[in-house]
Amino acid sequence: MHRWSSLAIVAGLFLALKAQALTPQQILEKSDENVTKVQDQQYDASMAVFENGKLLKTVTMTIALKGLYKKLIRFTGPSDVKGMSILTLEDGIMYVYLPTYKKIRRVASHVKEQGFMGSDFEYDDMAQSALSSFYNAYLIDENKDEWNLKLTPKPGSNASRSRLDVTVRKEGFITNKVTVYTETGAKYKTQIRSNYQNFSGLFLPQRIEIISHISNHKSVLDFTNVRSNKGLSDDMFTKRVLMREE
Amino acid sequence: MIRKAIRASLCLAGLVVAGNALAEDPKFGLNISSDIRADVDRVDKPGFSRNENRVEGKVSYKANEHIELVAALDAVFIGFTQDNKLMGLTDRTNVDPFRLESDAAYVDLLDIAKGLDMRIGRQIVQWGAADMINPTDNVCPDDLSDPLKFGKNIANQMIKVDYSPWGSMTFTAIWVPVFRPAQLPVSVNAAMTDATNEFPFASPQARARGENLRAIWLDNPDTYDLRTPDVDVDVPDFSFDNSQVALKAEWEAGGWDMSLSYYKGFDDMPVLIDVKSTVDVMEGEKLGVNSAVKMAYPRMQVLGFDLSGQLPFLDNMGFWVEGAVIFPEKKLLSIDLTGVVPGAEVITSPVVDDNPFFKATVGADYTPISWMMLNVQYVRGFIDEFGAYALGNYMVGVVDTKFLSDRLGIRVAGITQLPRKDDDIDLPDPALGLTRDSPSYGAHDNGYITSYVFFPQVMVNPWGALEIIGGGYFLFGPKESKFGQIGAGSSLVFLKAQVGF
Repeated sequence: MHRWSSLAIVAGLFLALKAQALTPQQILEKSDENVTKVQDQQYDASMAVFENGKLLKTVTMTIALKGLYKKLIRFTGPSDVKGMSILTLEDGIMYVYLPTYKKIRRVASHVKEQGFMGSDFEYDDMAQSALSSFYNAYLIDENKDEWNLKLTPKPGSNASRSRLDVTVRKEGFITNKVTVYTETGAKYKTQIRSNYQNFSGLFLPQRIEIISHISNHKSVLDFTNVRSNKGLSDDMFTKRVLMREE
Repeated sequence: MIRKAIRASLCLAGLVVAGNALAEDPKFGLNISSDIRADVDRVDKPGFSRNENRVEGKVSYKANEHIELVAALDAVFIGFTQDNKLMGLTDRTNVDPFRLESDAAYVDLLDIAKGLDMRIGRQIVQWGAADMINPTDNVCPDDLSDPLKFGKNIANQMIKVDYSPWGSMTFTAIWVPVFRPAQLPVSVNAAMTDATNEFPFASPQARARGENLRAIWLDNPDTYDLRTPDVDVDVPDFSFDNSQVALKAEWEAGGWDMSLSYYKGFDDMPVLIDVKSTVDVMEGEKLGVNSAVKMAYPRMQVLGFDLSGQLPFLDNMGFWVEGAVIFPEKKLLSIDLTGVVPGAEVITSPVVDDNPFFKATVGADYTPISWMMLNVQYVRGFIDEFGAYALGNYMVGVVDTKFLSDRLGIRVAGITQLPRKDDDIDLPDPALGLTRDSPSYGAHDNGYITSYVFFPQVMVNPWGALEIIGGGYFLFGPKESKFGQIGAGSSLVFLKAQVGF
């Protein structure tokens, strides 16, 4: 009995030491698991855009995601975008449904440069992403609650940013904050994720806030009616379904 | 027996309850827009040409996972009183006329089997990868009444079936029981009375003979008074033979979207098939020329293709190609001026010959900086051009800019008709000093001719739901050119506002 107790203590110490010994890349991978383990998600979203603290506009939409790449956004307001839908598939393939013309148009990925509906979000911000596939992680510092990591692109990867700083909470490996830098090394914008909820062991944010460092802009995306891992069909992410008035 | 009926009723009630359990609340939409325009050039007298208010209502209801209903109805208040008779002004429909339009009144049957949808009823189908000018888009007729819409489709009643057996592969089959023609612009009437319009013969020889005859009254404006012709249009009847069929297969491969399509039906623009002119009244020293004109819609079959994607070696610039080979029905035009010019021959020659012809649009778009998007297209054969001899070449460009978080947009669009050789026959001109003011100027060989459209707009969107658009639509070019001819309409300025939920 005494011998078994000693073994248990040794094993516990070993596991604790192993957790502490996680490399920055492993921390990033663990954080990504909150994203990659979500097979699908559906939610309603409301995006508010502020300038100098004053609300400029609110865009509402429903969003369905499957895996890391399939995404269907249907805009429900305001009226100038209502009925418009965006379907994104693997390899950056993107379609937009234009209700005025009842037409689906292929959209080249250069439009991502335009930002998302006049907000500080970009199209990539609207997708789930596994950062560890594209970036190498380095530890900046840590405290008892968080790690601060610096991410730089992996050689040959399609990383869209030259540098990201990421704050990962130790409990649940939750990414709290992402700061994006410009090519010249200046801060470009900061993404703050909050209101995390536990979905069967997966922690997902219910609010994403983007603060621009180059303008007086702020955009806040709030999620409601969140459902995850409901077994969404691949058929839902097709041009045939995009044409439907939903 | 009664027990069976009760059991069946209960089962049915159960299905209804189950169906209702899946039903979603109806979704409503309402838009109100106001559109005021003024003709500023190429008209006898500048003034307001549109004063339209539109109330657009839309409702969709998903009864269950297999059935969805969509209905849209627009009430359009025209804004111009349409009667100047005393009794007419006692009727509100004359004093404040309006019309109804509908883009949608259909039932969607969804996932009938795996990957199989059907849409039955009034709907718009728009095909083609290109922007606005789509040679493969022939199922629905064009609305040419509004030049700012560039041929936006009008809905028609049809049955459409979509089947996606695997991956991105989708097959579409459409049956349109009854043909609907394009809505023509008001300027078509002015074009009919413009004797300098080109004769639409496919054969240059027939066109030359027509021009020589026409010279008789063009060169004698003090002798002849050309009256507005009486034009009849033969719209295809409602027989089964005149049903239209369209098929399409589309798929994605290697990052490119592709499609092949087929259409069997009619061109939605009528062509002249018969002109008979007579002189019947003496008016002072002038002879009144009356013309009876007949038009018809040529049958056609269309084989189309399109391709769209992006070019990685050009920073993912968007790129598309869309083309269609059109196999037209031969249509003959007969021009009988024997009643005006005694002894003249009746000229009969194809207005559309049966040689297949090719229309195409090739384009690209790019975002050089976050607030600017560029779009350029080459067009072979404009929306209204039909027949191998009638096709022109055009460049279309759009610069779209957005500022202040999309609250301000400035869009500048332009169309250029690429210069073409005017093949008119030089008519005898006794004055020997032909100028643009000469009555027969448009009927002469003017060398290479070109024309332009300049279409600037400013869009203000202060609070999301409200959009205000102001701009102009300006036409430039000589009388015989694409955008300079009378039929192209007037240059105008406009102001629109729209709001909705």
